[in-house]
Formats: sequence, C-alpha cells, structure tokens
Amino acid sequence: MEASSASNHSNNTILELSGIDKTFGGTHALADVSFDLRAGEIHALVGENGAGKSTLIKIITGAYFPDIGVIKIGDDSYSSLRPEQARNIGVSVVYQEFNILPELSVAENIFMGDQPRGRLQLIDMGTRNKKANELLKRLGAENTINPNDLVKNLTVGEQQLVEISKALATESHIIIMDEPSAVLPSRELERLFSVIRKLRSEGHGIIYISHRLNEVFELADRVTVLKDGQLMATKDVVDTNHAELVHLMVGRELTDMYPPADNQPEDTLLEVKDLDIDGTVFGVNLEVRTGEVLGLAGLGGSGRTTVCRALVGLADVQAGEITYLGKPAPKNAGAASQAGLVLVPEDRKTHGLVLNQSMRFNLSLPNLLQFVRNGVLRAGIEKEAIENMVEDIQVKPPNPEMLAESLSGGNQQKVVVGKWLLTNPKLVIFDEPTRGIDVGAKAEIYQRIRDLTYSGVGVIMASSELPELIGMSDRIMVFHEGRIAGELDRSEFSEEAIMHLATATNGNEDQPAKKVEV
Amino acid sequence: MKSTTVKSNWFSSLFSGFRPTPRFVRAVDLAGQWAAPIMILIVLLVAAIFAPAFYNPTNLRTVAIQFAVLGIVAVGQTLVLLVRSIDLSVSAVLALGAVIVVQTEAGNSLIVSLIQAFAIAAAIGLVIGLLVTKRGVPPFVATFGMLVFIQGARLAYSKGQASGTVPDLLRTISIEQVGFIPAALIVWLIVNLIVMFVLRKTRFGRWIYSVGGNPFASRYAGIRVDMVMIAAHTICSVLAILGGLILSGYIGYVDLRLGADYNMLSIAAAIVGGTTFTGGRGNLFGTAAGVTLLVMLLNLVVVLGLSIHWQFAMQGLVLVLATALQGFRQFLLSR
Repeated sequence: MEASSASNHSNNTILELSGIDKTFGGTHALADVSFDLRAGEIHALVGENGAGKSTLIKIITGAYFPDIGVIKIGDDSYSSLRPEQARNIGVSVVYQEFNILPELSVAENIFMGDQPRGRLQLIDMGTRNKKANELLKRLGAENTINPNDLVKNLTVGEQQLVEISKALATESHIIIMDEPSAVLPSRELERLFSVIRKLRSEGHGIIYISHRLNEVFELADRVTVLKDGQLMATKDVVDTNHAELVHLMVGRELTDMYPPADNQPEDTLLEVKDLDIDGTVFGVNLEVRTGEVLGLAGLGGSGRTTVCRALVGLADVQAGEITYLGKPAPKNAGAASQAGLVLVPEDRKTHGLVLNQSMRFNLSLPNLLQFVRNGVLRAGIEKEAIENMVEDIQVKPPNPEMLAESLSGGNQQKVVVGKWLLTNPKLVIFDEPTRGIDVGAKAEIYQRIRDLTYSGVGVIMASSELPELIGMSDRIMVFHEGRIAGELDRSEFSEEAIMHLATATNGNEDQPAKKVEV
Repeated sequence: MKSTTVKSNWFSSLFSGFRPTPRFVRAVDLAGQWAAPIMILIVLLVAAIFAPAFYNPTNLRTVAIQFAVLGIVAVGQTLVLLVRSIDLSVSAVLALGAVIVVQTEAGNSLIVSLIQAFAIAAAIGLVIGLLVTKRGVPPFVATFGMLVFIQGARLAYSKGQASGTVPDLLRTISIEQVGFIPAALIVWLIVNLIVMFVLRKTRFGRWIYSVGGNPFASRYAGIRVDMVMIAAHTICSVLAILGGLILSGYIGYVDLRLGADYNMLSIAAAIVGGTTFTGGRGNLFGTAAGVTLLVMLLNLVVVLGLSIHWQFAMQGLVLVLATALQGFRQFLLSR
C-alpha cells in the first residue's frame, strides 16, 4: 500500500552509484556494488554486520574514497566526494549516535553550521527560532518541541527529530538514516515512521538502514541487500518477503533461532531483596537459580541496566541485600568476576572492549590471574587459553593478534562474551546481548546462552527485544520506572503481556517517553 | 571511471588521486615506529660531518649523563601518558629533590635526606593521582597547579638563591664510571629494565595499557582504574626526583633554573618514541629512542656554537613534528 503510493513520483533518480569497489588492507569491503535512489522513495539497505552497509554510506557522505566506481548525484558525476562537498550537494546522515550538542538549544543545534545572520553579521535569534519552528512544523513536532529547549532535556525520539531538522535545514534531498529505530523506545517509532513518510511525500530520497526486517516491509518502497561486500539484490518491497530477504542476507535458512529450552533450573544462585539505587531503582526483589535464564524486560530507562550493573558491584546501592551463593555479594567488579559473577555489558565499544588492543589482550583482561605464576604473566599459558577460546567462540578471522577495532560488530560481541566465559562464571548477566549484531551471530549467542544453562550456569538476560526474551527465558521480570511491574512464567509469555506490564497503561501509550539509559 | 566526466575542484582531485595502498600505510606505520632511530642515525651522521667535537669523550660523557637523567624522567612520563594522563610537574619535583638533599645535607645524614626526598615525591604523586581520580580534576590542571605550587614553595624555602654542596654519593653516581660506562647510565638501565618487565610481564602492566585504552571497559573488567592511575602518577613523581638527584650530583649545585625544561623534554621524548596522548599506546624502547634523539640534538646546539635559545625552538619543533606524524598515520588508517 505504501509502496504503490510512492511509485507515483519514481524513476526520478537523484543518486546513482555504479561499480563501487573499496578495499581496506586485504579485505574487500565492497565489490562492484551499484545502488540508486529516486526522489520520493524510501530505499532500505539491509545486510548482516560487516556486509558493507556502513562503507557504502561513508562513500556517499565522502568519508571514504572508493577505489573504483562512479558516484552520480543529479547530473554530475564524481569519482569521489569530500565530506563538505557531499553536504553541499544535499547529502545528510542521521546517525545512530546523534551529532548534537546537549547543552545548546534546539534552534542552535538545527542551524549549527550556518546560523541565520542579521545586521553586523551577528546571529539573528528571532529569525533562527522562527525558521526552526517552521522546520519542526514540517515534521509535525511544533507542539512538542520548542526551539528554545535545551537538547539534553528532550527524549531520544525528540533529539532524533532535531537531527532530522538539521538535515532539512541544509536543504538536503538525500537523507540517510542509520538504524534510526535502534535507539527508540517502541512508542516513539510510529512518530518516526510518519516523519519519514512525510519526507518522502515532500520528494526527498531516503536511505533507510535497519536490522529489523518488519520495518522494511512497513516503510520502504525498495530494498537492497548486501552480503560480504557484494550486492545480492535490489527489489521492490511488494515483490519480496521476509524469508527471501533473510535468505539473501545470510545465504541460509534460519529456522530455529532459539535452541529448545529443556534446561533444568535448580538451586538458588543469587537473591536480591529490596534493592534501592540512587533514585532510579526502588524495592527490587529477584532470584536466579542454576541452569535458569531469567529475562529482564522493560523500556529504556526502566532500571534494567542499573540493576544489572549493581549485581556486579558497578552501581552504588542505597539499600537492600544482594546474596550470592549464600553470602553477601562482592562489592566490586573485580571481586565479583573472581567469584564467578560477571556482566556482559550493553555497550560493547564503550564498556566491553579496549578497542586499540588485540583480541588476545581483551580476552585476557579479566583472566590475567589464571596466567600468572609467581607474580609473572606466562605468555605460553596465556597463548594456549586464548587460542582455545578464539576457536570456541568462532571469531573471524581467528587471529588473536587482530585489533579489536578492526573486527565487525558481531565478532566484537563474541570477544566480549568470550572474555567473560574464560573466567568460568557461575552466573552470567547479559545486557542486550544481541544489540546491533547480525542474524548469524545472534543465533550463535543464543546457543551459547543455552549451553551455559546446561552446564548449570545461571543467566540473567536483560533485553529490549521481546522475541528473544520470549525465546530464551524461563521467567521474565518486567521493569517499569525502576520497579518490578510483574513476573511472567513461560506459560504466560506474550509480547502483549510484557508490553502491558512495561508500560503499565493498559496499552495506552500516552505517557511521556523515557530517555534511553547511558 | 575514465569514460565519465569527473567533476571536482582542484583540492579534491589532489586528494582523490591519493589513495594509500596497504603498502604505503605500512611504510608510514614503520616510519612512525622507526622515526626516532632513523633520526638518531641522521643526527650522528650530521654530527660527524659538521661537529666532530660531538664525539669528544668528555662531550659523550656529558651526553650520557643528560641522557640518563632525561631517560629516567621520561620513563615516568611514559607511564603517565599510557594511562591517558600527563604530568607537567616533573620539572618542579626534579628540582625539589635536589633542593631537599642539598639543603638538609648540613644537618642530616644523607640517608635521611634521601628518604625524605622520595617520600615527598611519592606524596606529590599520590596527591596528583587523588585529585585526578577522586576529584575529577583534569590532569593538565592538577599537575600544572602542582608545578606552580612546588616551585613557589621551593623558592620560598631556598629564598631563591643558588646554593649548596652536593653530597659525595650523588657526585659519585653522576660522575664515576664503571669501566667506561657512567654510573648514571647504569641507574637508567636498571630503572628501564624494571619498568619494562612490569609493563610486559605483570598484571599491573596490562592494567596500565587497559586503563589508558579504555577506562570504562577496564572498570567493567574489574580493574581498579583509580588505583592504577594513582600508582602511575606516584611512580612518575618518584622517578622525577631520582632524575633530580642525579642531575644535581652532576651539576654540583642547585640553582633556580635547574630542571626547568624537563616537562617539555620528557613529554617530547615519549611522543617522539611513539607514545600517544590518547593513552594505551607506546613502550619504553620508543621512549629511550626519543630521549637519545632529543639529548643529541640539544647537545649539538651547544657543540655547533649556536645560541642556547635554539634548544627551545628545537624541542618544540620535534614535539610538533612527532605528533603530526602520528596524526598523519591516523588519517591514513581512516581512509
């Protein structure tokens, strides 16, 4: 339905990439890829991590120069673009990590590069606010966002609208959105979609990158699939289906993402009583047993992540008891991991990895004591343990000296998981274990979690992806505004039941949206 | 590509033709790592042609002692840079050490004075570390404040006069030789071997690189980030005072300007040797090479009979060039 309405003003190509090739070191990031975008079209770009989506985007925005190939924008052809050149001819990107200054106002951010000037070349604030308001009106947000608001006081969704306004302010007609839905709570998604449709109806061309295929079907007119730097297909969305896209992306069928849950929960591992944390978590009680997966659900900012951090001693606990293996839980992350209580953090780049060091360095980091004899690190012992782990977690390429920053997202996540597995944990807390990683890597992580439960390890899995919570958990506890809104048993699992508790509004979505936790 | 018209301005076309091949990136990479050793060879060659006096044994011994002093201070500075911090107070600590020993020598035994000096240095490092970690003071501000404070306190205490006789033991370390090797150089060697061993073979060494590379991930990995940073600053201050003791032994008296250049020099030596301002990268081999290069250049200014002020110009130039080379490497890698 959406697709047919768009085909009215199609065939007006505004961007055309042909025969793009790009290599980094020895790896072929893009091989002979062609791509085009029409005015008034939403063109989805999908593919696993490392498929070449980001490289393609960076070539359009001028961050990378292609080795071979031509970029045609409007009637002009370029062998390569520079960033400001791309901006000037109307290319804008809304990144996952926003490019806005939190301490400045909405209007200041929108006109960051080019503030409206008045007499004496001084900034004309009246005009600026008026123009900002016009842009916000185009996005239908003039009633929720005031140009004078400080950006830091806005919700994530509103901040994203400011980013989009910035793109409009520079008169961009090619707007690239890099996983815009990944950062949004689900209640703000609908607004984003309507904004994107509005932009399409105004004749902008939109490149939409997402890992969520149902968004592609809801929103896009055409979809291009990349795999390992190769162009697999470009299709009209109406002519394809979910299964076909997955097949094109992974090159295999993924029938059973979630391994069967025939694990047997037994003794209590960890017990939390009346946990209060610094005005964000109130009176939380929970219990985890050996061989069990306890799911933690809740919107961003509901206290999930804070509780996870508190369990390994990374948050200041105001009140309450945490009992681990019958004793008070360790008070810092080092002691916790010694005792087999570990957290695989949500943000692998910030909290999980030392990016400028090797895979070996990262895998070793919490396990150094294992490699020490008489106070000295033994390279031989370390090498053997690391090589075994690299093989076990199937990182590609399996070279322990590879720098963490040069691994793809899925492989980075495997390294983060691997470094904690090497500590021989008894209880593993996964916070968003599959955020932003591809389908294949996801399936491997799920299998890993299931294997852990078979060997008697307890697992806490905090996630905002409901299907994976439902697929993996034995019980789910749902957080709402720092409290536990309810607990669901396997027989009661459904996305509706979880959302009902997580929003605590009987399905009405009229509450103010929450900021995503940092 | 050839068949289409390629439109772009001269600047862009200048750069669009510039796509680093992997081999070129590797070459620049190697150049970065080997910049200091290569420069050392060039300087040795230039010295042989234009300033043969450089190779005079007396001059070489002077170079060796200057090398030992700067080498010891630069080891501490490297540790601090590795944890993503910086220490601008080493020059003041260095001078302070000399003052303590020289001034108290009259009444106290040398051992007591030495213990005092090292205890005060450790305390200074500890305070800097605590300010940086527990109070969140930027290292630049904390150590610069400390620099001014220590200098002021030292001047107030010594009333700004050049004075003192240096204890015999220090003169011995700085002037005597073991065979043909100056004793000071042996002190440098011992310090280097110990710290190299710690960096490569102990958990603390890994923590240093980890904290500098990503303090947040280090904390999640159970490393006590604050402790590591405090330790790095404490070691740095202690090494600075050790450098000061050797320097005062060599010069034989203490004056106002003693050690004043060592902030700049120690930072430049580490950076020239491949340590980055962003933390987590660098090693002591590089730093030793950086120290060698700087000390030789400083000495050549004197041997060539140029104005002593050229030393400053040269220090700045070397630091900026080394940092620029690192920046260029980053630029290439991002392409």
